[in-house]
Amino acid sequence: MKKMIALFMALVLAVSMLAGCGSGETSETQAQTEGKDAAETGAASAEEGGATFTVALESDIVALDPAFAYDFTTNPVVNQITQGLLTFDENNELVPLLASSWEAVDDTTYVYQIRDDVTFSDGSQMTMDDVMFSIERIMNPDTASYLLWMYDNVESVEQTGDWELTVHLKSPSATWQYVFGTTAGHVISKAYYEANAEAFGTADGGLMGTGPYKFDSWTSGQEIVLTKNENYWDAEQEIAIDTLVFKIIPEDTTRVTALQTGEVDFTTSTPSDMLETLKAAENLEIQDVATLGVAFLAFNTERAPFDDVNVRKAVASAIDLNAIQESIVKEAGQVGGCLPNSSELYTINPEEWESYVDGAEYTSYDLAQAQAYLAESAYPDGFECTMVISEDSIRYAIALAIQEYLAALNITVDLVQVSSDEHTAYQFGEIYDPDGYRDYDMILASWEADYPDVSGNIEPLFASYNAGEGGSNAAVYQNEEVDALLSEQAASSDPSARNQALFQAMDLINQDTPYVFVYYPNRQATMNTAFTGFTMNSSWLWNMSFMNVHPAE
Amino acid sequence: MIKFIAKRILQLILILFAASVIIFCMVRITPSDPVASMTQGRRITPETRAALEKEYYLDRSLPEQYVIWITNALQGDLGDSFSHRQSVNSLIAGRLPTTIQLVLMSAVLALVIAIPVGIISAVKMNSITDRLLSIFTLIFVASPVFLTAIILMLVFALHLQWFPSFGSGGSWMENFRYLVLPSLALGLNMVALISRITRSNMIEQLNSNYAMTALAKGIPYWKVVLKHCLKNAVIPVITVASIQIGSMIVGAVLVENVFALGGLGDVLIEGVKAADYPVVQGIVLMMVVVFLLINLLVDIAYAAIDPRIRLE
Repeated sequence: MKKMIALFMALVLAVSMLAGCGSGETSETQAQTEGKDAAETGAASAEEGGATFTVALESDIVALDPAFAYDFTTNPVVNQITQGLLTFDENNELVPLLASSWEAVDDTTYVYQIRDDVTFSDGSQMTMDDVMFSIERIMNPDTASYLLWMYDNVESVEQTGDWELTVHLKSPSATWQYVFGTTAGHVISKAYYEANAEAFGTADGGLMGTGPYKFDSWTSGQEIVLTKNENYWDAEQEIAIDTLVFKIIPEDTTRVTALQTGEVDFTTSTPSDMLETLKAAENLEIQDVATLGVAFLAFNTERAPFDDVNVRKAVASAIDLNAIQESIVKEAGQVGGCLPNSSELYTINPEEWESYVDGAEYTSYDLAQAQAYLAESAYPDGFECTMVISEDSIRYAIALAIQEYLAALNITVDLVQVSSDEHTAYQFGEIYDPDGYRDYDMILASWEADYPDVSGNIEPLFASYNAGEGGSNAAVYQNEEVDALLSEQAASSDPSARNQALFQAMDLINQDTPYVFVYYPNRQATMNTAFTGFTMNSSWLWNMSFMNVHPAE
Repeated sequence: MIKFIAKRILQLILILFAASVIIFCMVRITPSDPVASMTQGRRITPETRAALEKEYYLDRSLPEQYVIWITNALQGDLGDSFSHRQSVNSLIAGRLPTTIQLVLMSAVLALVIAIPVGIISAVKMNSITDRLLSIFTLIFVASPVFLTAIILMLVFALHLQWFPSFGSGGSWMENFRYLVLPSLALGLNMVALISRITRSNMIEQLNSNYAMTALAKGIPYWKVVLKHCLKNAVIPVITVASIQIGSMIVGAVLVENVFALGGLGDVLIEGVKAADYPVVQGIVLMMVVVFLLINLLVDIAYAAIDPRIRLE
């Protein structure tokens, strides 16, 4: 018995030592070549017939299925494989893609001409059948698509000609036009879906679309591999990258290290607290991309003490947003102002928005004024309140700063730091106190518009119908006048009238101060200098493409 | 003996039942909304919500949900993940091999380092070498696995570029190279305990009568140490090491996350964050089963060797 154990141990030792040495040696030589090639990966492999471009994602994708592609890791993958009838160009404007043109016949009727020269990656032609099937699949509640809400206002979708599609709306809508530019308007191959119905969208079934890349493999938690679509329908498009690999790297430090060593070439998940390290790396280039979003501090306007407008104004004027921007946010965003969005959402007559912002009155930093507001409120001697925050490091630093600013008013802020899913539950009204109010006094959170539309952040944050359970109105702000103005502009097709209604609404809102718009977040895309040709803009959730990336000269 | 085994299996079933109830309740304690987590707070229609709740049985009462889950689990089906839109079985199947390989490699590395350290410390008892070795091993046990992992990565992957910084490789052989740093990060944590046990056992053996006799007979010192004493000293070490493998599974979660290995740990952490009940329940239940089975086998083995245990 003892001999057996000793023998076994000796064996284990011997084997592991051999394995250790062996792997050590090979790894050294391999790593050396890797290290040398790191900066020239693209160029080197291009000579061997096709480059590989490796993208780091911070989490695994939800599914290989446009019906569930509604987040910043799934979409960059799915968008390479399937395409929409429309898309957004680099100026956030809608342009045709699988459709050749479209027009609004009247307020509730939209007609789309579909291209007849599009093929799927297996070479088969895309038919109207595929288009109708794809749209009806997302509209079918049994699919449980995350994008179903976009079709809420749709009466019917029908084929009205050989290559013509007509959409009838229930009521006029200023935002319907965007839907076919999102994954809700992506076309999948019906034949492929039917052949793989059970496994469609999983690692076993994959999906088939008309995009520049086709699905190759998905190893859960590790990587997704796409290969060039040799049958891409747009013959003029040159695709230099043969293999597109998405690596899943959840830990920030690891993602940064992999970028530095050249093991990955690109990421949009650039940790903002490691920007300095990345900037110092010679093989990397960082691109700042504005977002459609806003990071805000919402007051629970329904519950004491923040049901008192003077309390809200006191807090809003005690916080120095410029100082927060300079010392905490830095490159991660632009300082907030009177609107819940940066200039990225001035998509209708931008000059009107610029002049509105210049003249708008809202509560901004002024400590003397803050004390005056508090003296007028029901709590002149201060009070104690809660602020819900997530684990994000920038948000935490901001929360600490706010805590300190408010201490000057004798307001004690108890920070309630929760996990991201709990934070989501707070922000969207899933957690209530015994009296039936949302269970926070203040919450530090963010929102990002779904479409590049002027009302993209205003409507979700202030409309009273978004104040209930599951609603995005985190301040539980309810104002009938504002509601009326918001519905007026939503049903209007006159751009200037829409702007005027929104300006009036914002004036009313800023008098009530339900939110403080802390900053407008930026994202940083980091890419290896061995590659070039990549551009992205704030609509990248819907239009991000690696089609034009190619090895640098 | 059969009666003993039957009794133990019956106990195991009861414990497993209790554990499954606890797991089921624990994942639901946090006040989060699985549907909101699925859609990451983006807006959805009531129809989508209803369809999603139906698809994942979230519209049923808690006892019903438990019965559905446990009945399917007994038939080997752990349900579908909320956030991954695939079965928990396929998630586990795809990721388990990486986790097993990581834990085994860490255990082997820990033993390869700890046993020689223990022998040297014993032979040079109370010398400077002994003290230094014990300080070093204590540093590794005091440093959180997470920190060790990041330091190893920065030194060996970023600066020296000897090893890849993340991932678990494609082929089985390639995996060895990819898993060296993760296994070290996990294994170093165990070195202190194993080397201390080796040391104390070795000291005991070195002072025993048979070792004295062997030395008196003129057998070289190193031969007495390695051939006679080590053999006797190493048995308790193996027992402790196998128990330690259980706690390594916990550390593996962190190491997998840092090195992006795509093992069970990643998916478990992600599942906890996203209120993905089926994933958390499935993986934790599987770990409990593995633990219980190891314990059962050890108990049976003890009973087989030592009849007194059967009679208690």
